[in-house]
Amino acid sequence: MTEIISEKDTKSVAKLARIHINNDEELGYYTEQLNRILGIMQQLVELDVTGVAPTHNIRAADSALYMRDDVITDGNCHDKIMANAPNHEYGFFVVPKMVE
Amino acid sequence: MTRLIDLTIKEARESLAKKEFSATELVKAHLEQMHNTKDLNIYITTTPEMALENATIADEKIKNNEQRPLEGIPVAVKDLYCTYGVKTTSASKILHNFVPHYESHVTKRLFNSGAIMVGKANMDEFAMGSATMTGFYGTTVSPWKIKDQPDVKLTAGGSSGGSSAAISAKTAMAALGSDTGGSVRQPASYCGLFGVKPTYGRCSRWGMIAFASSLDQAGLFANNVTDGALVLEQIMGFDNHDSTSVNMKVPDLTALLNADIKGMRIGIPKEYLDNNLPEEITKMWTLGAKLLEELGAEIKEISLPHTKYSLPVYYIIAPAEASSNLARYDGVRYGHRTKEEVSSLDEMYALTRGEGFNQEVKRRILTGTYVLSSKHFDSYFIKAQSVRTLIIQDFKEAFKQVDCILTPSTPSAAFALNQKFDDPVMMYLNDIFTIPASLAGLPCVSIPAGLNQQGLPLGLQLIANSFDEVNLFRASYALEKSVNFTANAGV
Repeated sequence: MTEIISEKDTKSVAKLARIHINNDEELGYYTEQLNRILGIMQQLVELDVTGVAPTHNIRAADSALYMRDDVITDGNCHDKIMANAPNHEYGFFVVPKMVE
Repeated sequence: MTRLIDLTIKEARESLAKKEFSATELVKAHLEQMHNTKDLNIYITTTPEMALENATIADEKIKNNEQRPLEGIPVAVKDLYCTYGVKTTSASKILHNFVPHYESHVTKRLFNSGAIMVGKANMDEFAMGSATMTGFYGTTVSPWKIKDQPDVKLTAGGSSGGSSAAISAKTAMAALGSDTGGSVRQPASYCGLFGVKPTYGRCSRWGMIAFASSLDQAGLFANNVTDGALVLEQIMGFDNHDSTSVNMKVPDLTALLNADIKGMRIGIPKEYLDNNLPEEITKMWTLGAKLLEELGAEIKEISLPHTKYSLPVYYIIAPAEASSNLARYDGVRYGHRTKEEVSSLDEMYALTRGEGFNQEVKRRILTGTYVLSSKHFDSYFIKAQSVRTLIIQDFKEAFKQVDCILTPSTPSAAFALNQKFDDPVMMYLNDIFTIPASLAGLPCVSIPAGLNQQGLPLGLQLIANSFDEVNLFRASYALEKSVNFTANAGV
C-alpha cells in the first residue's frame, strides 16, 4: 500500500481534531486505516472537473434558504441549557482551573 | 388466533376504532415482546411506563372518537432523535448521560399523530457503521437466522440496526431510522422490511443528532408499503428550525395504494451490474424488473456514468461534515468529560474526545479533519463536491428518460456478526448501491424481494426523482404486490 499519510501527519491531524492518541500502537493503527481510506479516494484524481461547480447544498438549486422573521423565538431557558453540564456554578459552565 | 404483535398498522387502526381491543392492550403486547427478545439488544433505553401512560390517553381519545392518524400505534425511535426528558445517546459514550430538554421535529410530529414510543433503538455510534456493532451499548442481533444454522448470529444491518430489529422482532409496528448513505435501506433489506428515505428536505433535521448534514435524512421501517406510507405522511413537512427543510405540500401516499403502473418507465442502471455481483442478487434484480414489466411498466437500460466515484466522494464529504459537526462534543456543556488531571483546556478536550468516541468515529473525524485541512481542501473536499455535482447530473439526465430506477439494495444478504473486518473499505462497500442516491438527495425505498438459499431476505431498491414520492410509492405498491413476500423472522 502506498503511504499517503505518515504517522507524523496523523499526529498533527489528531492534534487539530483534539483527539488524544494513547500510544504508538494506536498511532500506527490510525495511520494504516487512514491510508486505506485515503487510498480509495485517489480514484478521483483521474477525473477532470474543470468548470464544474461544487455542490455545497443540494437544495440550493430548487429553493432559496428559508429566512425567518427577525424576532425573538426563545429565551428564559437558562436552566435547561445548564441541565446537562458536567459542572456548572453561578449560572456558568465550569472547566478545571488552568495555570498556563 | 392472530397475535396483536402480528397485525399491520392498517389492521390495528381499524380494530382500535371498532374497539376490538384497546391501545393499552396493543402497547402491552409489544412491551411483552420487547421483554421476550431482550437478548437481541435492540434498545438502548426502553420507556414502558411512558408508553402505558400514553396508551391510556390514546384509549380516552378513541373512546371520544377523537383519534389521530396513528393513535395508539407502538413505535421505536432510533436513539439519535432528541426526545424530551428521555436519554438520547447516539450510541456514544460521549452522550451517555444526555437528556434533551427539547423534542426533535420528526418525533414531535410522530407523537402528535398519536404514535406511542416504546423505546430508543440501538445504532452504530453517531450512525457511522453498517452493522450496529460499533456503539457504546453493544451489538444488536438480528432475529433472522440462517436455515439450519440457528447458532450463527447475524447483523440486523446498520446504522439503524436497532430500528430494523425492533420491527422484525415485532416489538413495535414502525420504527424511525435515519439514512446518510444507506442506513435505512440496508438494514431494511437485511431484515426483510420496507424501508424508506424521503427526498432530502422533506423531513426536518432539527433535533436529529447530526452526522453529515448535507446527507442526513429521516427515514423509517415498517412491515409493508402501506404502513410505511401511513407513518411517512405524518413525519414529512416544513419546519422553520431547519434551513434545508422544504416548504412544499406533503403528498397523499396512502391514496396511491391501488394505482397502476401502466406506462411507468423503470430504469436499470448498467453501471450497477459491473460489480462482481453474486448470482442470487442479479437473479432477484432481473425478476423484479420482469414483475414490473408484467404490470405494464416499460423497462429501460440507463447510464449513470459517474457511479464508480460515489464511494470516494461519500467517504470524503461525510467524514468532513462529521468532523465539523462532532466538534461540539468538548465536555464543557453536556456529555462525558474526562476525569484525568489536565493542564490545559485543549488537553481536556482531547482526552474527553479520545475517551468518549469509539474507534470508527475517531477514524472518520481524523479523515474529515485531514481532507478539510488547508493543504488538502481543494484536492479532496472541493474535488469531491464537484464530482458530487456530476453524480447529481447523471441522475437528472436519467430522470428525463425514466420515472423510477430499480437496483438491488445491497450486494449481499445479512452477514454473520463474528466476521472480521480489518479493512474499513470492505465494510464501506456494503453501501455501494445506496450511496449514489444519497449524494443526490433522492427519495428511495428498499422492498423485500425474496429469500436467498440460506433463507435470508434480499431487498430491491427503488429510486425516484427529487420530491417524486408519488411515483416512488406507486412503484413500491406494485412491486410489493407482485413479489408477495410473506416470510418473517419467525419470532
